[in-house]
Amino acid sequence: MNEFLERKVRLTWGEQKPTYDVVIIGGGGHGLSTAYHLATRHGITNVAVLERKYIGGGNSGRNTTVIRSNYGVPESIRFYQRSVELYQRLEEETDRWIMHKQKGILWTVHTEAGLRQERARSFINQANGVNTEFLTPEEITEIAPEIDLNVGGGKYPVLGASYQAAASTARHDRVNWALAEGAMRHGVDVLQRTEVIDLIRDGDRVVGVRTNHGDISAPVVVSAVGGHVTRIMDMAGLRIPIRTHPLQAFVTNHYERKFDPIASSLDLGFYVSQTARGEMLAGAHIDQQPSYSYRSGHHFLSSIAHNIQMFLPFMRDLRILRQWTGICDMSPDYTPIMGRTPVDGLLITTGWGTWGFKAIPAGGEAMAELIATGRTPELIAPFSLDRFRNDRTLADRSSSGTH
Amino acid sequence: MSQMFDFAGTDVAFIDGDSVLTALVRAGIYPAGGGALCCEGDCPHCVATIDGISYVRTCQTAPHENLKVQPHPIDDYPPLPPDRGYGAPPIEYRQCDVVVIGQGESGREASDRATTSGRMVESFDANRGEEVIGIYDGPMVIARTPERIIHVDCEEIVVATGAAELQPACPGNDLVGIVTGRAALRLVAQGVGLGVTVAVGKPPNDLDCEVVEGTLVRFEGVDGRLAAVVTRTESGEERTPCDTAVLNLGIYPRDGLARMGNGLAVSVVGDAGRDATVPPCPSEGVICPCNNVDVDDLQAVWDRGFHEIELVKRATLAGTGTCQGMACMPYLRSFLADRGAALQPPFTARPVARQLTIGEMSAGEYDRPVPRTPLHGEHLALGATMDRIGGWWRPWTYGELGAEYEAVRERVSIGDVSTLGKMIVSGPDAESFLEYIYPTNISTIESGRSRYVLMLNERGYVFDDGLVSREADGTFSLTFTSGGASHAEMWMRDWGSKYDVRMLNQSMSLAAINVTGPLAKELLAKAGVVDPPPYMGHADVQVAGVPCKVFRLSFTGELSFELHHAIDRSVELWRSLLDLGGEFGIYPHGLEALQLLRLEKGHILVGIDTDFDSTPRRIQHEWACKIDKPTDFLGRPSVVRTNEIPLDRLLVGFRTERPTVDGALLYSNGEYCGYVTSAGWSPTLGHGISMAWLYHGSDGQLPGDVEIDGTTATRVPMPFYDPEGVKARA
Amino acid sequence: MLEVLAVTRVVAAPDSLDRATFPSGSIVLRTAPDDAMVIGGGTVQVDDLHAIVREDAGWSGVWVNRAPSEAYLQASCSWPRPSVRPAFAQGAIAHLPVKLWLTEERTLFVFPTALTADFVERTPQEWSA
Ligand SMILES: Cc1cc2nc3c(=O)[nH]c(=O)nc-3n(C[C@H](O)[C@H](O)[C@H](O)COP(=O)(O)OP(=O)(O)OC[C@H]3O[C@@H](n4cnc5c(N)ncnc54)[C@H](O)[C@@H]3O)c2cc1C
Repeated sequence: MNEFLERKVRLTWGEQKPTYDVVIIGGGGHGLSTAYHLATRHGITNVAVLERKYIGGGNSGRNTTVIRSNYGVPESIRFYQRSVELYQRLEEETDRWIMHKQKGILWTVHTEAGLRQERARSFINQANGVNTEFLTPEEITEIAPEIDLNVGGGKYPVLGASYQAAASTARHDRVNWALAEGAMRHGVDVLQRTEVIDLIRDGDRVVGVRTNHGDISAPVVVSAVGGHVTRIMDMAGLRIPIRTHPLQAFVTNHYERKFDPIASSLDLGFYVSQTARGEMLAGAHIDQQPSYSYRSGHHFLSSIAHNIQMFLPFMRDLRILRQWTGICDMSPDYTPIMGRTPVDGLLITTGWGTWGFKAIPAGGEAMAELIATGRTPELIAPFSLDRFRNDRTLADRSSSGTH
Repeated sequence: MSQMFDFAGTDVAFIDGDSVLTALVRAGIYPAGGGALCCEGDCPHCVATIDGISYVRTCQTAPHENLKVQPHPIDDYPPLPPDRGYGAPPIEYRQCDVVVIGQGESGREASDRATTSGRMVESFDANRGEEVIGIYDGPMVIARTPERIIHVDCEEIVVATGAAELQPACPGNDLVGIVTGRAALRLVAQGVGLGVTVAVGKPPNDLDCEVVEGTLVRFEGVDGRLAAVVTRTESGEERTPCDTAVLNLGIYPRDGLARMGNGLAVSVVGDAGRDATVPPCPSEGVICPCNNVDVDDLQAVWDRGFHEIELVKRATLAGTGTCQGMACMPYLRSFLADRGAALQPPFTARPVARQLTIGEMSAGEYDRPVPRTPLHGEHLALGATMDRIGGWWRPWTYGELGAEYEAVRERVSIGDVSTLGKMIVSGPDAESFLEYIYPTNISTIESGRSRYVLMLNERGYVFDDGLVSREADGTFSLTFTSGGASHAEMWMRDWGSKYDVRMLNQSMSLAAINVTGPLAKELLAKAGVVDPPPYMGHADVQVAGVPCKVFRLSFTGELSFELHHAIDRSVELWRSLLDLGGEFGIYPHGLEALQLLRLEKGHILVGIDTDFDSTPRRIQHEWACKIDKPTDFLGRPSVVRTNEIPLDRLLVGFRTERPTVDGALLYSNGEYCGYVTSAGWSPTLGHGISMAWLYHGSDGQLPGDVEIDGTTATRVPMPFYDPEGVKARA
Repeated sequence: MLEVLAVTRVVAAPDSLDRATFPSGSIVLRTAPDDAMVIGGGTVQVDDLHAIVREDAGWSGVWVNRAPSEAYLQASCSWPRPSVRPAFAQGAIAHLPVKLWLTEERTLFVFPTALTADFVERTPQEWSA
């Protein structure tokens, strides 16, 4: 027996049918959440989620699970805040333990420019109902005495931090499963080892998908395939402004649970938190070279190790257990892309890059509403694909913070 | 005389050939409690905290006199270690043709074969204290030894890691006194007494013990120690009392590194490459000793639909502990195969194959280099606070913001702008190339003159700005922003590859000092410059004996001369200027003052006042974007297209009566309508000034006056200071 | 001894640069097809009308005997150096952009002077003494 055994979730797998009302490609968090919300909010249950591997086998089962809403543009702050709130209720709603835990997130700054940027973040957050504060070094020490304020012998002095106390983490797998189970319970078919190899077109419309197990027709097809989105869009003859970049993370062995917050330094390029199982979990920025490769890199590990032990000296003697890689659908403005595409019948939810785990509840909720009502919910209207054509991008690089 | 190491305060003797584990077992100590010991680094049953580092396999660690060993907590996690300051072992880089991992029989053969065929070979073996921690792209192998980290680039990797002996999966498998066959041999060889010993399965040849009949059912114990082995034979259960049980349950390939190297030039030899036949499915007992997962746990999740090996792993956490699945993988697979879910491949093998600390992983790492200007020492001597700005160390302030500002506005000052990007472009296509790069007319720049330029990307968004100057010899001198220079250089080389041009980057070779203030000309005159260039002109002249290219332009709003010169003459020039300027009340200015001075002039700082989607129109720089110029330029189609779209926001200036700060928000009738990108208090004007993004209202109109920080902000045209530019042109 | 190097940079069409004549006794590092770094001063003759020839004060260097330089590189340079000497090589060493001129007896490490502080911090003390 171990305390982290999944004790409740029951997964009931469907059988592939020739037609559905909605086909969702991708059994990651966003695909499952869309199905879940279609079923639970709109009574739309003749839905299939097609997953080429196993559910949560993409980024939704590889991420570092940071949930926060301290973004830099009002449209994003409001959207992510909705997701933060949905996460706070998700355990109750699904009656499943997703190990949701409030931790607070520190974004430390080490230059004057960084200080101004994070102070600005606290203003725009507070104006949009998110309580991000700007902390002094002394206040940082109160929250995380382990941080060396004189990082690197003073090369990277900690000058302050923005701090969102409501930031949290949750166990990624359990989020995926709770949503999958909820959808399945209403009759949604979740089909694993089912890969979409082509889209079926009728004139200008997409009317179904071709899978390794045969064709499926559906009036609505949703692409929720994470870093593979450009491949699906290619099947529809569409080019979208997404580049896929690998993103890596690592965990240490298990230690006494003592480090409470999520601590991050954009300048030093990493963030770290301690999991419920006592592992120190660390991530960094994307690999600069676009790629679909899941192979882990050594330089990522050594460079982050170096920076981390300067910042949190106790970590020097922790042993690294495992590293891994996901491939991220990076949008040029670091903001998601959700909604219709120029091809009728084909919807997308993408641009989740390195930051989309936190968006799973709100993203699925909004996509479901769009599918059910045919109207784009106001919350995600700014995230439409045509913003790039319309010169209405939502630049927010400094907030993507890779987590 | 025997030597000792410390285990939790007591001395433990060790002899030649011991590992920490064999010495501990000889003393009757089991650092991590019970469980079947393998003595080969496969199982998690011998881990301990050694010299403050937890999860160290004692069987892979050689003892020495000063070693301090602590037991691994049984029902808890080890404590977080104390802060020992920064530390990393040395790294060694090697190159060879073939890396052979594992030096058992098949590994030695592989090494010999490769050596004989004239290839350069590196080999590693955990038994020699060389643990390979991962195979990466390259291919490249990273290994750790007690002294150092070794990094090998090679053509090819041979994995010869052999096979591990199976762990028992039955009740009682966590007792003390269970060992694998190989472990038994090692212990005996070190003179460790095993007491009454029985074997389950065929024991190693040299081991003297009774073999129990039948298949293993469970181990029975007293006080955590093995007391008997229970097996099932045709006649029923049989109980054999013993002190030690030696197991031969079969072997399972150590294929982790081989799988990690999938897709790379990796081959597998010997037992590591054998077919992984799975053992019979266990019916009870712990299968994952790291995370304490038993067969009932597997069944519980199986019954609720978790059938994929990855899902079972994640739902139980089997395989995610310190041995990374070495103990449980065979049983996970047999459990699932037994339930008809086909034999699934093992889950992905990921680095690190053997664990190492974050300190060890930092080997060979350094801080990101931060260049310094030649005047770094001068700034420090003047008491400057240095900050990393645009990737350089730069003086933020000399401690006297007011004096710095005042010197510029009222007398004369010098500032270090050596960090500017600088480039020479020449070649038959130089002009047409620059016409394509810049949205400004280049052909009309006369020799000896300069022009302010924006740089646009294909989307028509501003990513840098600077100056283009035409030289008498037909070449062009360019400047870029400090922070944007390396990107700009790549940009130039990338697009320039289609043109017949030559480029020389001089960013780190030339220093630059900005002489600015109403008395700048007087100071230059004292430094021997009698005929300084006109506004937006430049000339090669000696300043205080130092050859300089003097550009006349103005960022501060005052009369300014930028003196570009070789970095080895910079200190000399800086000191001369300070000396000569003494009578004018010269005082240097840092970046903080400069940011205020340029704000008064409404000059943008790319990256601070602009975002990645700033079009020339949005930042009110259409004057620097000549849509109608005769030649095409980068970003033009996008600018033409986006210019048709109604504007949504504008970078504008505000005046406030109270100071505001960067990032402060704008409200119009209570509605959010933008934010401040740069703010300051203008000592000259006596009011607050800020540059801000102002959004159009839902009516499509730009709000007039707004509220910032609860005070009224009046929209005013920029520049705030000297709008006619009289001072700069003086 | 760490010193500021007397460098002339010559950027020219590659074939012109191939034909160029460099002062005797100088070290010519061909850092790119169209770029040569001439250490030691003197006049370069290159037949490209558009060549950019400039004194370049931006570089520093240190000569190190072969054995200690090899020992250092083994712990700081992840890429293989040419086995035949004299040779030129460039790349990241201790995460700094470094150019190497390798002769039978010695190795010259060349780096931007702006990174001297970092270079000194990452190399043996006696090099900068
Ligand atoms: C290392 C790492 C750390 C991260 N940390 C954070 C964090 O801390 N906080 C945060 O908010 N976000 C984080 N993220 C980002 C986050 O994980 C993702 O944005 C999010 O999980 C995206 O979910 P998704 O459902 O869109 O994509 P995925 O979870 O990748 O799901 C897409 C699924 O589609 C399947 N698929 C692909 N092609 C096909 C096909 N042709 N047919 C059928 N199925 C297909 C894939 O197998 C996959 O399962 C991180 C990401 C990584 C890699």
